[in-house]
Amino acid sequence: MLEIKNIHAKAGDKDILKNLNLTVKPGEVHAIMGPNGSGKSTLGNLLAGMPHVQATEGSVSFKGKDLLELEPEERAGEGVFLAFQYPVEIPGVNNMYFLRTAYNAQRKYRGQDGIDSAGFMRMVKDKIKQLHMKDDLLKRPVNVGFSGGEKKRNEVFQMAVLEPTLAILDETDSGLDIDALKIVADGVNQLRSEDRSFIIITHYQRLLDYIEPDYVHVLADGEIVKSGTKKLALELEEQGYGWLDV
Amino acid sequence: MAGLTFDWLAAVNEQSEKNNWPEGLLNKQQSAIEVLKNWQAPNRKSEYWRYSDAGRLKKDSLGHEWVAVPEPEETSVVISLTEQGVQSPSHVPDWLEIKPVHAVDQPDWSALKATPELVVQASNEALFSHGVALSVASGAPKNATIVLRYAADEPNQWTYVRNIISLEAGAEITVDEQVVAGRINVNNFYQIADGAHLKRHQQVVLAADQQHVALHHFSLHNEAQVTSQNRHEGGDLQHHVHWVDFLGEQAEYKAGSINKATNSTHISDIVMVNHQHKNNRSEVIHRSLADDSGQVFNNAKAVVVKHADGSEIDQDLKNILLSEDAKIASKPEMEVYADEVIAAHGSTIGTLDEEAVFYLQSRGIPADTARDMMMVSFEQEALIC
Repeated sequence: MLEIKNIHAKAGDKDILKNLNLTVKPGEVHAIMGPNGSGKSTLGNLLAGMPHVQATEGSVSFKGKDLLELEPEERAGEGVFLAFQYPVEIPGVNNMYFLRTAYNAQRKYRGQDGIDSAGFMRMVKDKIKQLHMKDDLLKRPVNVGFSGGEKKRNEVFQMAVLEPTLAILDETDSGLDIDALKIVADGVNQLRSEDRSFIIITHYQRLLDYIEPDYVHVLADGEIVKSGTKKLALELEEQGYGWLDV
Repeated sequence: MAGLTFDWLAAVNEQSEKNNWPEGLLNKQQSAIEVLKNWQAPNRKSEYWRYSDAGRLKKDSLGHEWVAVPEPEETSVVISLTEQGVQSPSHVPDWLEIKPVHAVDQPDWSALKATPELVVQASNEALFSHGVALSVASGAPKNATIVLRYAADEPNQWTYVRNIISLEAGAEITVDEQVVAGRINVNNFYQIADGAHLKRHQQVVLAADQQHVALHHFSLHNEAQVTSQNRHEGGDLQHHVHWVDFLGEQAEYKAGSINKATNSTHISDIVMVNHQHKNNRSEVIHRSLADDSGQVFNNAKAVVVKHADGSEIDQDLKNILLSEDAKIASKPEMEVYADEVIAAHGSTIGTLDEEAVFYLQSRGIPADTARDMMMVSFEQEALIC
């Protein structure tokens, strides 16, 4: 599904990713851990198409297409979703309108008909119920006045509605209390399927107690220096990153 | 005055209807012309015209295209103001009195006495030919709406319109001002008596080569309230002045303006609030966008005189530049001579939040739609009613 080969990338003027390689197959969950400044968020932003992150070398293939050639909205149409570390507030645009616009734009990109507001309302109400979230979320302006936890839950809710094939969660667990963490993890677990993949960027092993990864990678100074199973995350929790000499 | 008013005078519509005017009013107009002769024509040295090309006022061909304005709701009282005169509804509700503007005493306040900065608006006093005097009784239903539609057919000559809108004590009314067509110079005098509430919407959305000049003067008595929503968009030149005088206490003036300049539009949106008495509150919110080579000038000024303690002032001007050639000048301004005043002001000029645009794009929304959504989002804070 996703093949990152020898990628080098800059964020602004700064070289961040250096020779990063990663392959993600359908249905797999990959956790990316690593010290501050190692390039974890830059990787997520590069895949989603953030303008100030630019690849300088290497390639990213997603479902056979050159992902780096696509605009951010085209990547979303192809099934890439980034749950932001710091979701943006958009006053005056309510969540429902925003999501329906996004949902129909993606359908249009795929050559499908749009969905009317009544049908969309039924669909999102079902989703929000399944995720055990409050439906007042729909009427509120996007992320405005949301607590940190609400913003992260809103990201997971958007993911549930848009049903991406590759979901990248950028420190979705940061700032969450234990109950919110469970709700977010539960949402992700509900969405796991054999044709949907996840890249979970996190600092802490605790999220991986709730979302079982297939692989754990350590990113340091812009490249993956070690890969393993969930056991690697437990070792990192106990010993930090020092023993990896990163 | 070096020419400009007299260019207008030469261009003004036939004013034969003035034959029936009272002599006192004709004398007043003649006096206004004499004053204007001694005032300087608007130019870049004038604060109000520093960021706008006054030379455009003399353009002699503006074209015949207009932006469609939705028809008013049937329940509204619709008054049309054209170059021929005033068209009032055949049935007037009992809470409303409509008279020709020349049939009532003119307000004491005059742009001519205020400042030479208002020279363009003040020319209305010398040249107006018609308008209405509306008196709204306290028995007006709360959802009552009066629509003032400016609809002159002649695209080149200026049409000078002057209206007086008086709300009796306790009255509550909505007034919608819409520019349908015409090159209008309008002076409106809103007189808000004790405890009355004016809700006002002004919509001036112009085709690329149209012009509009306006002065709105609000006099607020004890516990009076004005909630004013303005949308100024497009055209060749728009020049708006909102002048507020608090004449009593415990009154509130709250205004939200959305200014959008595209192509080579020049928009000036100037607010002057005079806190002459204690315990009044003013809040001015502007959200302005300039694209292409459009220009916007925002100026919100409040003057609090000595002993007008307990005054509250809030000025919030935010602006977005959408192109390299666009220009915005934004100026919150306060002169406070009283001791106990609560005042806050702020002004920002920036570009569209690209991180937010990316956020929307990352959900599948095309860049153009994302930018439109961000602009709608930006405008929301100025939507107050």
